Amino acid sequence: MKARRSLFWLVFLSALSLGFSVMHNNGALSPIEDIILRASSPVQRVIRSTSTSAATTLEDLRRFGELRTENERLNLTVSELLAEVASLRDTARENLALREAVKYVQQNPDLNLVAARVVGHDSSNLLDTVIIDRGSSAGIRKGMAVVWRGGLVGRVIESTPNAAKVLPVTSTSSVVNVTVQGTDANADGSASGRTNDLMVMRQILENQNLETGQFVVTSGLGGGFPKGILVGQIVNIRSSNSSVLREADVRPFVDIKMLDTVQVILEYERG
Amino acid sequence: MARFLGRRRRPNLFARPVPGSAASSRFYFVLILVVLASMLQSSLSSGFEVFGVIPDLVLVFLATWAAVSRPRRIMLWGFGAGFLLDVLSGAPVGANMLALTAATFIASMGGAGLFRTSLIWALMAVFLGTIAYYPIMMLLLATHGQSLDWVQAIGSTTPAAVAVNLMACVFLYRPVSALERFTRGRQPYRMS
Repeated sequence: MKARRSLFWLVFLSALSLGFSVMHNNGALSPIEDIILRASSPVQRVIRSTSTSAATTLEDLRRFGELRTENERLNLTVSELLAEVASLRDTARENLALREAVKYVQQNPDLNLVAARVVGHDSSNLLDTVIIDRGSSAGIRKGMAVVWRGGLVGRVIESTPNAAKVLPVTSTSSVVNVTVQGTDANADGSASGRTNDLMVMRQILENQNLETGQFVVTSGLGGGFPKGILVGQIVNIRSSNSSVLREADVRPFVDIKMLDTVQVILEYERG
Repeated sequence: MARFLGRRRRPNLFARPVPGSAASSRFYFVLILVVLASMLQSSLSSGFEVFGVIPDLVLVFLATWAAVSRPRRIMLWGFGAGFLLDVLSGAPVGANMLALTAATFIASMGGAGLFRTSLIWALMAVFLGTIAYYPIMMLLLATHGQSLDWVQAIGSTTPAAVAVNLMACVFLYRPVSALERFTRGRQPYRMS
């Protein structure tokens, strides 16, 4: 009896389903479907977004080991690429420096220059000296001037066949005879390094007309350096109560710490 | 009066539950769960696929409910849930209705006995329900002009769905049983 009743309901509901199907095809159910969809869509949207997030998290957890391996591999690749980029940048910088060196040589045919790379700094942190990769075998000897793009770097204080040690002009041990461009012939002095990356120009007479912003160049006195090599720019002028001489702070033209390449003046026309 | 006259009273499938009664609370619980299951099934991300299929939550719930509760209206629930699923999932209206009605009919079959309250019967109901549901759905979709890869649908999708639905049933069985006990109230235990 029960089975017959169930079968009856099965047939009845199946027929009703087919009826609904026909009504749907005729559009008779559209209002009801619209109401249901409108009512359910906010909930469905929440379910969809939540389940998508949850599925993504589950997928990430499932792939954790794989992701870790991939991450390690990618980190390795990034390291290799960074090293390559650094090497390329270094090459580009060196290339630019060498172009500048060639340009400077072409602009100064009276100077006999030899290019050298800066290969090291004094490791004691007590001295300011830099090491270059050319030495006596290239004709470099003690006392020669070292320049970069027309600016004075320093002088050679030691030379071995394949390397030389350069004392920068910014060193407190360095003294260079200089003059100020744009003043009369007596505006001479001597420049030496200070501890704060500035140089100090001393022995400037009181009557000499100095202004900040003026350029300081080598005077050529004493024979150590050719005349007219740019040393720096005056940034401050001081007067002393105890002396008639004045002092000026000079910002060096060449940033010694950033140097990669330098040129050593082997010979120059004195005059 | 009917009993007094010796006539057997027939159950009314469409009778509304009396408000406040255990049957009423059961009706609303099942209604909420069927609506939720329909929404979940139609909105769940494909990330929840197991063996390439998403569990048929409505079918599993109704088949398990049929096994543990033996309700008279189970086919009506299948019919209503099928309509909701058709509308929410964009399937041709009537496809899920018919398939779920047939599946719940098959799931609710079986004689009374010890197995009826056990997980084995629930698994059997889900198995039979799924076996009925998929071929019917395929036929109905085909009649609606949907192109189907029959080989994959029969050889791969249906077995995967059976496996996944059985797993879902194992997870759902205890909560559904607890709900059945919770909503049973003071109703006498019915053998049929």
